Amino acid sequence: MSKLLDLRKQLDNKEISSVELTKGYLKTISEKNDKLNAFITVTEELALKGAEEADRRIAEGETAPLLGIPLAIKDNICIKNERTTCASKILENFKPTYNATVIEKLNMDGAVYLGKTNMDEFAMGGSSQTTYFNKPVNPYGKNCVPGGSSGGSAIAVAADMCPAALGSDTGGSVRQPAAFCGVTGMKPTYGTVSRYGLVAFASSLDQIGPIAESAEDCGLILNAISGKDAHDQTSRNVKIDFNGLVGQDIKGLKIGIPKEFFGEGIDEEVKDAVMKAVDFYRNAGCEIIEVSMPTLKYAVSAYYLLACAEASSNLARFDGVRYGFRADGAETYEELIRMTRSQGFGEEVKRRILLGTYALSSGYYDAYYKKALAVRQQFKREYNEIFEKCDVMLTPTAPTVAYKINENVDDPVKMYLADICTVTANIGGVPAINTTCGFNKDGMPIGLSLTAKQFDDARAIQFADFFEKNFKK
Amino acid sequence: MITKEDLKMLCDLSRLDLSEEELEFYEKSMQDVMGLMDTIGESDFTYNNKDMENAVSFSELRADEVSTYENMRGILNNGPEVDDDQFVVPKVID
Repeated sequence: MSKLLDLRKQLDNKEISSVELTKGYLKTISEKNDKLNAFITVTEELALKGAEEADRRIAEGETAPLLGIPLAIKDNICIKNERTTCASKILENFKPTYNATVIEKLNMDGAVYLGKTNMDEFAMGGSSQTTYFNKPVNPYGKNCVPGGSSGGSAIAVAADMCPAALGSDTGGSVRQPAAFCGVTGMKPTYGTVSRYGLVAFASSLDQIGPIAESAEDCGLILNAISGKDAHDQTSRNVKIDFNGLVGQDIKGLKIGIPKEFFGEGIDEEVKDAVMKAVDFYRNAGCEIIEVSMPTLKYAVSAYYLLACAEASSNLARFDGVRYGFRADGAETYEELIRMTRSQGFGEEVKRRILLGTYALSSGYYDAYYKKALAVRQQFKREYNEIFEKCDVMLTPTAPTVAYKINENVDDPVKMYLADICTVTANIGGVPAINTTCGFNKDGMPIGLSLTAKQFDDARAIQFADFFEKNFKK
Repeated sequence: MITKEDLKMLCDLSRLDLSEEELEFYEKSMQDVMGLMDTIGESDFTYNNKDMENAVSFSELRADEVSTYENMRGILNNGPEVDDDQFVVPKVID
């Protein structure tokens, strides 16, 4: 039985109360957070208040999948009156006046919030080391990064500081930290979950997704948070039962293996572990076919051009006037904005704003931004072709396992190239889920990714769930 | 190739101030990054603005209706400097 289903049963049977459960997780957080830095803010008062309310609802005979379940929330998702920093100095003391739609939906279910998790500043990074706050650490030790940008959420689940968490995924930010920390994380189809109240990085790519111990738990959370929202015009009116295919036989279904994802730069141990998973599916009766994504070689550049162009526009709102940090000593309005932004943003955020501004500026727009849009269209064509031939596509989630803290920090190109396995799902708007398929010789987790066609999220969960329940790691 | 002058122009457009030391750091860093971005020039795809697949799908546009926001004080409380119901900024005109 999955973790969340087990907790649901215990809560409904009154074997444990939500307050007891919440206090247990708060205790674990207090014991581990100083070392792991998974949380930027622990919302103890909010958590206990929510747990008491959940216990009252349970006592009245109410039940809902997440009623009384404590969750951790990435610190770029707004919870009313709770500090939401995006791991940035510029929002260090920002308290939103409203809830994100995902929080409103979780409130209806009766979920409990343990705190706000650490991340790369404005979700810009793949290591969670660009945070303004204390640097998060991979719970598997070895002085490694937890991945990013939703590193805090992945740590919190892996270190049992919460049973599940929300992250956000613009280019792999849920799936890659889930892979590095040995847990399950899913980016649903673009438009299935409202982005209202998610602090924007790249609006055409951003999507909120769950991190949990299993695919089935990810499905439970997605069932709770998905749906059309009047506040987000890109949210889609498509009803998906994310766990609708869990338990159904995968025999005879087709798995596509795109050869480009197994080429240069993919660590041999990662490749071996992922190919063992392919063998497992073959032995389970799946048909394995080779597919191709020839445009993969342009994926990283297209992704960064699009994401940074959108970020340069989205982050223009941080001006020190209406919220957040304001620099001292400015004598003019223009100076106020420039000083605030220069002192408030970190190194990587500035780099991406500059890159995005460059891609959108006169004389370069056609060569960079418009070209990236063209490549994006091509990716959609290639995804359509692939999913005419197979039910899911199987790839590594990341080229390597988690690397050492401070490794790669001075090499943005190396950091960007490490996103090669995840960015195409965002560019194509398709769903993808990470699950653990093995460990390297040092005991660090290795992730595999299952990608499905748009709105076929349940298919990706079905395959991941089958793997988790039957593969012997 | 991004030069220091290019970078200064980008800083103006982005409302960022970089010190001389930072300019040198970002000049090198941006050159490396643009080396990677330039690979996109090798692709021969053309953007089709009539391709409905390209755009974000605005599935159901809602009516543009005015509603009253109840928590104006909460919004103002987030302002770094506020006077009654106004955000305070340095003077804009001489």
